Amino acid sequence: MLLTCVLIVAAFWLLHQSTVVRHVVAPYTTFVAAVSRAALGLLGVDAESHGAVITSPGFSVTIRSVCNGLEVTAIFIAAVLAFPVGWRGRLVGLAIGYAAIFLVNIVRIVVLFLLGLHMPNVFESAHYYYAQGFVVLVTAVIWVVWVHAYTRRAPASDTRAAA
Amino acid sequence: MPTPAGRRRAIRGLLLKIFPAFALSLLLWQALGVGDAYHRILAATLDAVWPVFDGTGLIAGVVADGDTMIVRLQSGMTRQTLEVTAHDVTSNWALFLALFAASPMRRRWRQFGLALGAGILLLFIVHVFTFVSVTLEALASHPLFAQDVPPLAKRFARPYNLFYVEFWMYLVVLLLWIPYILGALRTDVGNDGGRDASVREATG
Repeated sequence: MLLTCVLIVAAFWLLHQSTVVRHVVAPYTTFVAAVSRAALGLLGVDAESHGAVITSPGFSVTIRSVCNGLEVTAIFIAAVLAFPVGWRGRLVGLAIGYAAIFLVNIVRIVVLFLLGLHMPNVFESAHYYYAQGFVVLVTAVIWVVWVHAYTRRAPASDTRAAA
Repeated sequence: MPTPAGRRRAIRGLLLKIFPAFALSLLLWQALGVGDAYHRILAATLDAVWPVFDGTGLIAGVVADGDTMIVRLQSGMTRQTLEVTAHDVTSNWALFLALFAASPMRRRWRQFGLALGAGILLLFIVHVFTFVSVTLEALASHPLFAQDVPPLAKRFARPYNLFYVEFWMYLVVLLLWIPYILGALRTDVGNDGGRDASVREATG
Protein backbone atom coordinates (compact mmCIF):
# COMPACT_ATOMS: atom_id res chain seq x y z
CA MET A 1 0.00 0.00 0.00
CA LEU A 2 2.72 2.41 1.04
CA LEU A 3 4.80 1.54 -2.02
CA THR A 4 1.75 2.11 -4.26
CA CYS A 5 1.21 5.56 -2.72
CA VAL A 6 4.89 6.49 -3.07
CA LEU A 7 4.87 5.39 -6.73
CA ILE A 8 1.68 7.38 -7.38
CA VAL A 9 3.08 10.56 -5.85
CA ALA A 10 6.23 10.03 -7.93
CA ALA A 11 4.10 9.56 -11.06
CA PHE A 12 2.12 12.74 -10.27
CA TRP A 13 5.33 14.69 -9.83
CA LEU A 14 6.83 13.22 -13.00
CA LEU A 15 3.74 13.86 -15.16
CA HIS A 16 3.83 17.53 -14.18
CA GLN A 17 7.46 18.16 -15.08
CA SER A 18 7.53 20.48 -18.07
CA THR A 19 9.99 18.26 -19.96
CA VAL A 20 7.80 15.21 -19.44
CA VAL A 21 4.68 17.17 -20.39
CA ARG A 22 6.34 18.41 -23.59
CA HIS A 23 8.01 15.18 -24.68
CA VAL A 24 5.71 12.48 -23.29
CA VAL A 25 2.28 13.68 -22.13
CA ALA A 26 1.49 15.99 -25.04
CA PRO A 27 2.58 13.55 -27.82
CA TYR A 28 0.81 10.69 -26.03
CA THR A 29 -2.40 12.74 -25.79
CA THR A 30 -2.11 13.60 -29.50
CA PHE A 31 -1.70 9.88 -30.22
CA VAL A 32 -4.79 9.04 -28.12
CA ALA A 33 -6.76 11.71 -29.99
CA ALA A 34 -5.59 10.33 -33.36
CA VAL A 35 -6.52 6.75 -32.45
CA SER A 36 -9.92 7.92 -31.14
CA ARG A 37 -10.48 9.86 -34.37
CA ALA A 38 -9.61 6.76 -36.38
CA ALA A 39 -12.06 4.69 -34.31
CA LEU A 40 -14.75 7.31 -34.88
CA GLY A 41 -13.95 7.13 -38.60
CA LEU A 42 -14.55 3.36 -38.51
CA LEU A 43 -17.98 4.10 -37.06
CA GLY A 44 -18.72 6.49 -39.91
CA VAL A 45 -18.22 9.73 -37.99
CA ASP A 46 -16.61 12.50 -40.01
CA ALA A 47 -14.06 13.73 -37.47
CA GLU A 48 -10.58 15.23 -37.51
CA SER A 49 -7.95 15.49 -34.85
CA HIS A 50 -5.54 18.36 -34.35
CA GLY A 51 -3.26 17.83 -31.40
CA ALA A 52 -5.46 16.91 -28.46
CA VAL A 53 -8.65 18.20 -30.10
CA ILE A 54 -11.11 16.00 -31.99
CA THR A 55 -13.58 17.95 -34.09
CA SER A 56 -16.55 17.11 -36.23
CA PRO A 57 -19.15 19.40 -37.83
CA GLY A 58 -21.47 18.97 -34.82
CA PHE A 59 -19.19 18.58 -31.82
CA SER A 60 -15.63 18.92 -30.66
CA VAL A 61 -13.78 17.69 -27.62
CA THR A 62 -10.37 18.37 -26.11
CA ILE A 63 -8.60 15.45 -24.50
CA ARG A 64 -7.03 16.84 -21.39
CA SER A 65 -4.40 15.31 -19.16
CA VAL A 66 -6.87 13.37 -16.98
CA CYS A 67 -8.65 11.97 -20.05
CA ASN A 68 -5.63 10.51 -21.85
CA GLY A 69 -5.54 7.49 -19.55
CA LEU A 70 -2.02 8.11 -18.25
CA GLU A 71 -3.18 8.63 -14.67
CA VAL A 72 -5.20 5.43 -14.52
CA THR A 73 -2.33 3.59 -16.20
CA ALA A 74 0.06 5.00 -13.59
CA ILE A 75 -2.23 3.76 -10.79
CA PHE A 76 -2.31 0.32 -12.42
CA ILE A 77 1.47 0.23 -12.87
CA ALA A 78 1.99 1.24 -9.23
CA ALA A 79 -0.44 -1.44 -8.04
CA VAL A 80 1.25 -4.13 -10.18
CA LEU A 81 4.78 -3.14 -9.13
CA ALA A 82 3.81 -3.04 -5.48
CA PHE A 83 2.26 -6.52 -5.49
CA PRO A 84 4.60 -9.31 -4.39
CA VAL A 85 4.90 -11.56 -7.45
CA GLY A 86 7.86 -12.34 -9.70
CA TRP A 87 9.07 -9.94 -12.41
CA ARG A 88 7.76 -12.13 -15.20
CA GLY A 89 4.28 -11.88 -13.74
CA ARG A 90 4.64 -8.15 -13.33
CA LEU A 91 5.74 -7.68 -16.95
CA VAL A 92 2.83 -9.74 -18.25
CA GLY A 93 0.46 -7.77 -16.00
CA LEU A 94 1.87 -4.45 -17.18
CA ALA A 95 1.66 -5.39 -20.87
CA ILE A 96 -1.86 -6.80 -20.77
CA GLY A 97 -3.09 -4.15 -18.33
CA TYR A 98 -1.71 -1.25 -20.35
CA ALA A 99 -3.22 -2.57 -23.59
CA ALA A 100 -6.60 -3.14 -21.94
CA ILE A 101 -6.69 0.28 -20.24
CA PHE A 102 -5.66 1.97 -23.49
CA LEU A 103 -8.45 0.22 -25.41
CA VAL A 104 -11.07 0.94 -22.75
CA ASN A 105 -10.04 4.58 -22.69
CA ILE A 106 -10.39 4.81 -26.47
CA VAL A 107 -13.87 3.27 -26.18
CA ARG A 108 -14.67 5.81 -23.45
CA ILE A 109 -13.58 8.76 -25.64
CA VAL A 110 -15.48 7.42 -28.66
CA VAL A 111 -18.68 6.82 -26.66
CA LEU A 112 -18.42 10.26 -25.04
CA PHE A 113 -17.87 11.87 -28.44
CA LEU A 114 -20.91 10.09 -29.85
CA LEU A 115 -22.95 11.20 -26.83
CA GLY A 116 -21.77 14.77 -27.30
CA LEU A 117 -22.71 14.57 -30.95
CA HIS A 118 -26.14 12.98 -30.56
CA MET A 119 -27.19 13.57 -26.93
CA PRO A 120 -25.32 16.67 -25.74
CA ASN A 121 -27.55 17.02 -22.66
CA VAL A 122 -26.18 13.81 -21.13
CA PHE A 123 -22.54 14.44 -22.05
CA GLU A 124 -21.60 16.19 -18.79
CA SER A 125 -22.97 13.59 -16.40
CA ALA A 126 -21.69 10.76 -18.58
CA HIS A 127 -18.25 12.33 -18.56
CA TYR A 128 -18.08 12.89 -14.80
CA TYR A 129 -19.96 9.92 -13.44
CA TYR A 130 -20.03 7.04 -15.89
CA ALA A 131 -17.00 7.23 -18.12
CA GLN A 132 -14.17 7.94 -15.70
CA GLY A 133 -15.58 5.56 -13.11
CA PHE A 134 -15.98 2.88 -15.77
CA VAL A 135 -12.30 3.05 -16.77
CA VAL A 136 -11.21 2.84 -13.12
CA LEU A 137 -13.62 -0.06 -12.57
CA VAL A 138 -12.16 -1.95 -15.53
CA THR A 139 -8.66 -1.20 -14.23
CA ALA A 140 -9.59 -2.60 -10.81
CA VAL A 141 -11.04 -5.72 -12.43
CA ILE A 142 -7.92 -6.28 -14.56
CA TRP A 143 -5.75 -5.92 -11.48
CA VAL A 144 -7.82 -8.38 -9.44
CA VAL A 145 -7.83 -10.93 -12.28
CA TRP A 146 -4.06 -10.51 -12.63
CA VAL A 147 -3.54 -10.97 -8.88
CA HIS A 148 -5.75 -14.06 -9.00
CA ALA A 149 -3.88 -15.50 -12.00
CA TYR A 150 -0.40 -14.91 -10.63
CA THR A 151 -0.90 -15.81 -7.01
CA ARG A 152 -2.57 -19.03 -8.24
CA ARG A 153 0.11 -19.94 -10.77
CA ALA A 154 3.26 -18.67 -9.15
CA PRO A 155 4.96 -21.11 -6.82
CA ALA A 156 4.84 -20.03 -3.19
CA SER A 157 8.62 -19.56 -3.10
CA ASP A 158 8.45 -17.06 -5.98
CA THR A 159 5.77 -15.03 -4.20
CA ARG A 160 7.74 -15.03 -0.95
CA ALA A 161 10.93 -14.04 -2.70
CA ALA A 162 9.22 -11.11 -4.42
CA ALA A 163 7.66 -9.96 -1.15
CA MET B 1 -5.57 -21.65 2.57
CA PRO B 2 -7.81 -20.74 -0.39
CA THR B 3 -9.09 -23.44 -2.69
CA PRO B 4 -8.65 -22.63 -6.40
CA ALA B 5 -12.31 -23.40 -7.06
CA GLY B 6 -13.50 -21.08 -4.30
CA ARG B 7 -11.30 -18.26 -5.53
CA ARG B 8 -12.33 -18.80 -9.14
CA ARG B 9 -15.96 -18.57 -8.09
CA ALA B 10 -15.23 -15.43 -6.09
CA ILE B 11 -13.52 -13.82 -9.11
CA ARG B 12 -16.31 -14.91 -11.45
CA GLY B 13 -18.90 -13.48 -9.05
CA LEU B 14 -16.99 -10.21 -8.90
CA LEU B 15 -16.77 -9.97 -12.70
CA LEU B 16 -20.45 -10.75 -13.14
CA LYS B 17 -21.66 -8.35 -10.49
CA ILE B 18 -19.34 -5.39 -10.81
CA PHE B 19 -20.81 -3.64 -13.86
CA PRO B 20 -24.48 -4.06 -12.85
CA ALA B 21 -23.44 -2.88 -9.37
CA PHE B 22 -21.85 0.22 -10.91
CA ALA B 23 -25.01 0.95 -12.91
CA LEU B 24 -27.13 0.48 -9.79
CA SER B 25 -24.83 2.71 -7.73
CA LEU B 26 -25.09 5.46 -10.34
CA LEU B 27 -28.86 5.09 -10.36
CA LEU B 28 -28.98 5.38 -6.57
CA TRP B 29 -26.56 8.27 -6.55
CA GLN B 30 -28.07 10.37 -9.31
CA ALA B 31 -31.64 9.40 -10.07
CA LEU B 32 -32.82 8.37 -6.61
CA GLY B 33 -31.37 11.38 -4.83
CA VAL B 34 -28.78 9.67 -2.62
CA GLY B 35 -26.15 12.04 -3.99
CA ASP B 36 -28.20 15.12 -3.09
CA ALA B 37 -28.80 13.80 0.43
CA TYR B 38 -25.08 13.12 0.80
CA HIS B 39 -24.26 16.66 -0.35
CA ARG B 40 -26.62 18.05 2.30
CA ILE B 41 -24.85 16.03 5.01
CA LEU B 42 -21.51 17.15 3.63
CA ALA B 43 -22.61 20.80 3.66
CA ALA B 44 -23.82 20.52 7.27
CA THR B 45 -20.49 18.96 8.28
CA LEU B 46 -18.53 21.63 6.43
CA ASP B 47 -20.59 24.26 8.19
CA ALA B 48 -19.55 22.74 11.51
CA VAL B 49 -15.87 22.14 10.74
CA TRP B 50 -15.04 25.36 8.89
CA PRO B 51 -13.79 27.16 11.98
CA VAL B 52 -11.14 24.42 12.36
CA PHE B 53 -9.74 24.93 8.86
CA ASP B 54 -10.68 28.48 8.11
CA GLY B 55 -8.04 30.98 9.05
CA THR B 56 -9.65 33.54 6.77
CA GLY B 57 -12.84 34.11 8.76
CA LEU B 58 -14.58 34.65 5.43
CA ILE B 59 -16.90 31.67 5.41
CA ALA B 60 -20.32 32.51 6.78
CA GLY B 61 -21.91 29.18 5.95
CA VAL B 62 -22.21 26.30 3.50
CA VAL B 63 -25.41 24.89 2.04
CA ALA B 64 -26.04 22.27 -0.62
CA ASP B 65 -28.34 22.84 -3.56
CA GLY B 66 -28.53 19.54 -5.40
CA ASP B 67 -25.17 19.05 -7.04
CA THR B 68 -23.84 22.46 -6.03
CA MET B 69 -22.26 23.48 -2.74
CA ILE B 70 -22.94 27.13 -2.05
CA VAL B 71 -20.36 28.79 0.19
CA ARG B 72 -21.54 32.08 1.70
CA LEU B 73 -18.73 34.57 2.08
CA GLN B 74 -18.59 37.65 4.22
CA SER B 75 -15.80 40.20 4.53
CA GLY B 76 -16.83 43.41 6.30
CA MET B 77 -19.88 44.65 4.46
CA THR B 78 -19.13 42.55 1.38
CA ARG B 79 -21.27 39.45 0.97
CA GLN B 80 -20.91 37.00 -1.85
CA THR B 81 -21.45 33.36 -2.62
CA LEU B 82 -19.11 30.85 -4.11
CA GLU B 83 -20.47 27.85 -5.99
CA VAL B 84 -18.53 24.60 -6.01
CA THR B 85 -19.68 21.73 -8.20
CA ALA B 86 -20.03 18.77 -5.89
CA HIS B 87 -19.60 15.99 -8.42
CA ASP B 88 -16.05 17.15 -9.12
CA VAL B 89 -15.31 15.90 -5.61
CA THR B 90 -17.87 13.23 -4.76
CA SER B 91 -18.36 11.33 -8.03
CA ASN B 92 -16.09 8.55 -6.73
CA TRP B 93 -18.91 7.36 -4.46
CA ALA B 94 -20.56 5.29 -7.18
CA LEU B 95 -17.30 3.47 -7.82
CA PHE B 96 -16.80 2.83 -4.11
CA LEU B 97 -20.31 1.43 -3.69
CA ALA B 98 -20.01 -0.71 -6.83
CA LEU B 99 -16.69 -2.25 -5.78
CA PHE B 100 -17.99 -3.22 -2.35
CA ALA B 101 -21.40 -4.35 -3.61
CA ALA B 102 -19.76 -6.70 -6.12
CA SER B 103 -17.20 -8.12 -3.68
CA PRO B 104 -17.64 -11.55 -2.10
CA MET B 105 -19.29 -11.07 1.26
CA ARG B 106 -20.97 -14.32 2.25
CA ARG B 107 -19.53 -15.65 5.52
CA ARG B 108 -17.46 -12.48 5.74
CA TRP B 109 -20.14 -10.16 7.05
CA ARG B 110 -18.08 -8.86 9.96
CA GLN B 111 -15.02 -8.06 7.80
CA PHE B 112 -17.27 -6.69 5.07
CA GLY B 113 -19.13 -4.43 7.51
CA LEU B 114 -15.90 -3.18 9.05
CA ALA B 115 -14.25 -2.49 5.68
CA LEU B 116 -17.37 -0.80 4.30
CA GLY B 117 -17.94 1.27 7.46
CA ALA B 118 -14.31 2.36 7.67
CA GLY B 119 -14.31 3.10 3.94
CA ILE B 120 -17.45 5.26 4.17
CA LEU B 121 -16.01 7.21 7.08
CA LEU B 122 -12.60 7.73 5.46
CA LEU B 123 -14.12 8.70 2.11
CA PHE B 124 -16.36 11.21 3.87
CA ILE B 125 -13.34 12.72 5.65
CA VAL B 126 -11.49 12.92 2.31
CA HIS B 127 -14.50 14.72 0.77
CA VAL B 128 -14.72 17.22 3.63
CA PHE B 129 -11.00 17.92 3.40
CA THR B 130 -11.13 18.24 -0.39
CA PHE B 131 -14.06 20.66 -0.28
CA VAL B 132 -12.12 22.83 2.15
CA SER B 133 -9.14 22.75 -0.21
CA VAL B 134 -11.26 23.48 -3.31
CA THR B 135 -12.93 26.40 -1.52
CA LEU B 136 -9.58 27.79 -0.40
CA GLU B 137 -8.29 27.64 -3.98
CA ALA B 138 -11.41 29.42 -5.23
CA LEU B 139 -10.99 32.08 -2.52
CA ALA B 140 -7.33 32.49 -3.41
CA SER B 141 -8.25 33.36 -6.99
CA HIS B 142 -11.16 35.64 -6.01
CA PRO B 143 -10.34 39.33 -6.53
CA LEU B 144 -12.12 40.43 -3.33
CA PHE B 145 -10.95 37.71 -0.98
CA ALA B 146 -7.56 36.58 -2.29
CA GLN B 147 -5.59 38.76 0.13
CA ASP B 148 -7.31 37.12 3.13
CA VAL B 149 -6.22 33.59 2.23
CA PRO B 150 -3.06 32.53 4.13
CA PRO B 151 -0.02 31.92 1.88
CA LEU B 152 0.34 28.34 3.15
CA ALA B 153 -3.25 27.55 2.12
CA LYS B 154 -2.63 29.13 -1.29
CA ARG B 155 0.49 27.03 -1.76
CA PHE B 156 -1.12 23.80 -0.60
CA ALA B 157 -4.65 23.95 -2.06
CA ARG B 158 -3.90 24.01 -5.78
CA PRO B 159 -1.46 21.06 -5.95
CA TYR B 160 -3.69 19.01 -3.65
CA ASN B 161 -6.78 19.71 -5.77
CA LEU B 162 -4.91 18.80 -8.94
CA PHE B 163 -3.65 15.60 -7.31
CA TYR B 164 -7.20 14.82 -6.17
CA VAL B 165 -8.68 15.21 -9.65
CA GLU B 166 -5.93 13.30 -11.42
CA PHE B 167 -5.18 10.50 -8.97
CA TRP B 168 -6.48 10.66 -5.46
CA MET B 169 -10.21 10.72 -6.29
CA TYR B 170 -10.15 7.15 -7.57
CA LEU B 171 -6.99 5.94 -5.90
CA VAL B 172 -8.49 6.50 -2.46
CA VAL B 173 -11.44 4.28 -3.40
CA LEU B 174 -9.12 1.54 -4.64
CA LEU B 175 -6.97 1.79 -1.52
CA LEU B 176 -10.06 1.41 0.67
CA TRP B 177 -11.28 -1.60 -1.31
CA ILE B 178 -8.08 -3.52 -2.12
CA PRO B 179 -7.37 -4.73 1.46
CA TYR B 180 -10.87 -6.18 1.66
CA ILE B 181 -10.82 -7.91 -1.74
CA LEU B 182 -7.32 -9.31 -1.15
CA GLY B 183 -8.46 -10.62 2.21
CA ALA B 184 -11.52 -12.20 0.62
CA LEU B 185 -9.42 -13.89 -2.06
CA ARG B 186 -6.70 -15.04 0.32
CA THR B 187 -8.99 -16.67 2.83
CA ASP B 188 -11.21 -19.59 2.05
CA VAL B 189 -14.49 -17.83 2.70
CA GLY B 190 -15.25 -16.17 -0.61
CA ASN B 191 -18.56 -16.84 -2.27
CA ASP B 192 -18.62 -20.42 -1.12
CA GLY B 193 -15.14 -20.96 0.23
CA GLY B 194 -16.48 -21.57 3.70
CA ARG B 195 -18.50 -24.50 2.37
CA ASP B 196 -15.32 -25.95 0.79
CA ALA B 197 -13.53 -25.69 4.11
CA SER B 198 -16.32 -27.36 6.04
CA VAL B 199 -16.46 -30.16 3.45
CA ARG B 200 -12.72 -30.75 3.87
CA GLU B 201 -13.07 -30.77 7.62
CA ALA B 202 -15.92 -33.28 7.52
CA THR B 203 -14.14 -35.59 5.12
CA GLY B 204 -10.58 -35.07 6.31
